[in-house]
Parts: sequence; C-alpha cells; structure tokens
Amino acid sequence: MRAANALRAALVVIAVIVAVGVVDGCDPIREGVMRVTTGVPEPSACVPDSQRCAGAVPEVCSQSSMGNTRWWPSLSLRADGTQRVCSNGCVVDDAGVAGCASPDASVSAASDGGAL
Amino acid sequence: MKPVAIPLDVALRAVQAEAAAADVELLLPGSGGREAILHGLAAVHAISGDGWDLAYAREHVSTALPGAGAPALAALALIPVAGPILAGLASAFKRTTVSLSPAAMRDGLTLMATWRHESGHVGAIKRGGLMWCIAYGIVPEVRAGAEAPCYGADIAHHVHLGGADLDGITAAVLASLERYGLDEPALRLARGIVRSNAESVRRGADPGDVVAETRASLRAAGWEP
Repeated sequence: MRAANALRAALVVIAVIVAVGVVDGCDPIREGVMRVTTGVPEPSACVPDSQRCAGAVPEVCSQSSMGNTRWWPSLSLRADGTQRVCSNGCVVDDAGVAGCASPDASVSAASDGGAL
Repeated sequence: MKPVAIPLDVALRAVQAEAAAADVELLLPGSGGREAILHGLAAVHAISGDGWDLAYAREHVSTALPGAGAPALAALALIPVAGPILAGLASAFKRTTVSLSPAAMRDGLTLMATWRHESGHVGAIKRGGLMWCIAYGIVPEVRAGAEAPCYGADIAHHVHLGGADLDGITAAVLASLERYGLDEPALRLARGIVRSNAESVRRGADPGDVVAETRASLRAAGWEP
C-alpha cells in the first residue's frame, strides 16, 4: 500500500511538472522532463552539430535552448527497443559526417572515432 | 542498387508478422481505431492551434502510440486541457498501436519503409514508455532525436530497394521534418541525423541493417525477389 501511495505521489509530481512545462513551455521544465525520460541521452560535453562514432553508432551533438549538449544516435531503434548499430562499423569522413561504413570498407572502419 | 518490386500483399503479410512478434496492434486504413486516433490527435492539435489538417492526416499520416496502464493514464490525464484526450487515446489500446495511412499502403516498398519507420517509434515506446511520449510531445529536441533516425530508415529503403535518387529523397525527408514543430536547435539536430544516414546510404551501407531486416521479413512472408 505504501509503495502504491509513493508511486501515486511520484506520478502526480511528474504530471504537475509536465503540466507546467506544457503550459509555460519552460526550458528548465523541458530539461527536467528530458532528464527523467529513458531513452533521452544524458547531457554530455560536445560541440553542437559535430558528429562522432560511439562504438558502431554514429551520433550527432545537439544543443538545447538551455545550453546543455547531448549526443543523439543517428540510427533508429529496433522494435524491441534496442539500439541499431552499423554492422560494418562507423566512420567519420573528412567533412565530419559520421555514418555506417560501406560493406567493403569494414576492415578499415573506425569503431570508436572521437568527437570532432 | 537495382530497384525491386515488392507485392503489396506480401509486404502486408510481412508487416503483420512483425507486428505480432513485437506485440503491436496494427490498424489498417479505414478501421474504427484509426479514425479514433486521428480524431483524438486532431483535437489535441486544435487546442495547440498549429494547423494540423485532419483530411491530410487521414490520407498520409501513420502513427505509433502507446497502450497504457492505469497509473500512467492517471498522470497523463492530469496534463491541462489536452491530457484527458491523450489519456483517452492511450486507454483505448492495451498495447502499442501502429496505425497505417492509405498513403503507406500505396505499394509494397512504401509499406515496408513506413513500417520500419514506425517500428523505430515502437522501440522508443518500449524503452521509454509513456514518459517518452510526453517528452516527445513537449520537447522539440526529443522529437528531432526520435523522428530523424526513423526517416533515415525511409531513405535507406527508397534508395536501396526503390532505386530513388538519394539527394531527392533526402530533400523530401528534410521537408517532412519541417512539419514537426521543431525549433532551430532541434532542426539542426534533425538535419545532422539525416545527413549521417544519407552519407551511410551514399557509401552503399545499410544504416542499422534496416533494409536487411526488411528483406529477411519479406522472404519469411514468401517473397522471391
């Protein structure tokens, strides 16, 4: 019973937070929603618009209006909720664009290229 | 890559099989459930006043929405004004529901591309639940990070299977992303993600094996290319 009440209280708090965010479009509230949402990347230092390979996943750096930056994967999820990856590795080209390596270039593909 | 003709009936069997395996409710054009979803979304958008067009959506918009348990619905219903409508929508279905538009069923290729796009949203809902949907609704950055990768799957399908011009389909995708109410930072994120996927396809890669998955699914449904 106590757990149920705690859950209910937590949900009410979340709902109020969301409600305020909806009404005000308030950046701190939006950031708060992002922080508690599974699947939203944690804030991370990066240069907005830069791209990198995180293992075999290409990622793009975003910057919110709050100024926080995050690395977002450029590949979609599978229906089971797992992250898709580049089966032949990920490469960052000379223009700074991260993407999946071509099938015949897998040997030389970087698997963990750094941020630009 | 040589374009392939995918029969619509085979594609539909493949999508139905994948939906069943993923425990997803699949709604086809004309179903009552799809109409309910469209009218519910129209009501929400009417509140926001963003000019959402029900007639256009009925023909062109496919959706993925969560089914929801009681606690989540209670939280959703507390959102002012639009909350009860969203809660009503989510409560109508016990599991995640994908609603396909008539445009999605124009041909087998479009159906598979649309399904692969929507299955990305299914995965996000599976991982993040109703909170993900709320974040999607109120944070443009989340919408960009959710939609752009799914559009990457569209690009890969139309180029690798349909023989579409990469630059042309990329431009069309970028135009579509303009309709998601993204602010400038979110648009930049979406463009970056699309560019990443387009470059993968330009290199001949299949980003995240989305096309390979579709080929396997079609073969399982009896497709012989």
